[in-house]
Amino acid sequence: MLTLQIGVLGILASIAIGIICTMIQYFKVPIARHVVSVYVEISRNTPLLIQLFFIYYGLPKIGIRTNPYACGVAGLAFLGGSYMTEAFRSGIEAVDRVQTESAASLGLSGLQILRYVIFPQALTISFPAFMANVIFLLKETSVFSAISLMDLMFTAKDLIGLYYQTTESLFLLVVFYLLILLPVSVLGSFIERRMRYAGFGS
Amino acid sequence: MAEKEMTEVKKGAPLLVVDHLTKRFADLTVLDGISLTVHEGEVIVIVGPSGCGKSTFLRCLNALEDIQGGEILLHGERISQNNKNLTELRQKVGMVFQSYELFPHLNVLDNILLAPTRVQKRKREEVKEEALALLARIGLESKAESFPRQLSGGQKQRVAIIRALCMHPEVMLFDEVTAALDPEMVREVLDVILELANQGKTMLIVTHEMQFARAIADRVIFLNEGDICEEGPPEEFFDHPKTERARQFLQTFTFSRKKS
Repeated sequence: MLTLQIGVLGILASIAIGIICTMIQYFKVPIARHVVSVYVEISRNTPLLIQLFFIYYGLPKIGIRTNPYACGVAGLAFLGGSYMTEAFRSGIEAVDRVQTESAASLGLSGLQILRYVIFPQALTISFPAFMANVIFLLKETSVFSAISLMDLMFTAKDLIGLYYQTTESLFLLVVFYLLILLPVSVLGSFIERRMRYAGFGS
Repeated sequence: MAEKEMTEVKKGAPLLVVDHLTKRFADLTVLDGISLTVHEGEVIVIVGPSGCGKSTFLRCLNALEDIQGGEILLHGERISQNNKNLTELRQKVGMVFQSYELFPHLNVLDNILLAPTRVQKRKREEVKEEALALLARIGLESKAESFPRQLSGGQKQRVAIIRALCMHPEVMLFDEVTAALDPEMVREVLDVILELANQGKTMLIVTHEMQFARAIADRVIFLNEGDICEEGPPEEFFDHPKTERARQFLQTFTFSRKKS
């Protein structure tokens, strides 16, 4: 349950980060856009485990008190934020520039163009990548045991330690991950199909 | 197509004044000091070889391109990308693109209603009535709920024209609107534009359809290498072009075969 809880919170946070970063890049906000690119590169090119260690053991050193739970969410958000940024960005870039021009020629402002023309199209285009990220992030929660969070992996290791029934415990671990992820995956394809049905393929 | 009355006085007050417009892409000068005055109700057709800057010229009139020199005035107000009232000015200048550019996620009606309701804040019901009436005129009222992907190219382009019209622009710009269409769909789009001309809409049209240009234009502008090379009434331009360059250009549209 803890796996799911942290997963959901972390994913929500990474969506928020993703949207903010994408907006910064879309509107080419000076300075901030460079910060975003640096963040995206750092976060995508380092393993989650290392990031978690940094947050869990590093932050207290500079005086920020943390608990494993908050660290888990923060770590997931840090990693997921950049993946979401990339997914949203690819969606926005896939919308033809002339679409923006035709909307502008109708008198729409920059924000209106983003909201009514670009965003709805980008959302549909980036949805498969978005779903892949959600599943990827849920799976990544398995490294949380390293910072002593009682996630599925931790519980499984615990059970192995207690009962020496390695095969059974690991089998159950796989089953539980599937139980969490399969519905997410199925739901994803369902929404994807609905979205496509609702208006695309010009 | 020839029933347009030539005696009709079409020239009203100056509406759009282009003064020494210069556009450069890096080192390449695309438009080299073009000056042109468009009068209310006038239909101007711009022709010229590819790469002469026709499309760029139209795009400048809607501030889709930034300009490096000169100015464009609509009712005396400057059109430029730095103008704070740019979105308001753009509402007065409607544009139709070669590739239609309907919004694929919205149905026909919502495509038309988006800008009038969101930008001009007009009542949805009121605009809807107007939109449906216009759709009925072009025989597409049954397609109001269809999505762009369900329409043919010609239908999409006619919807795009209506979408621009519903903003009540003072000038309409047509950028090679039939260039991407199958031949049998060209006519239905051109007929819509012709009807607008008869209603007295002010229009600037870039096209390769010379027959159509001749029929609809009050004035033909021949653009070559970024400048106006020749301009005049269509009969004069097509039958007695003054410049050698224009003669060469017009020749590419006539075919003849030597038979022995």
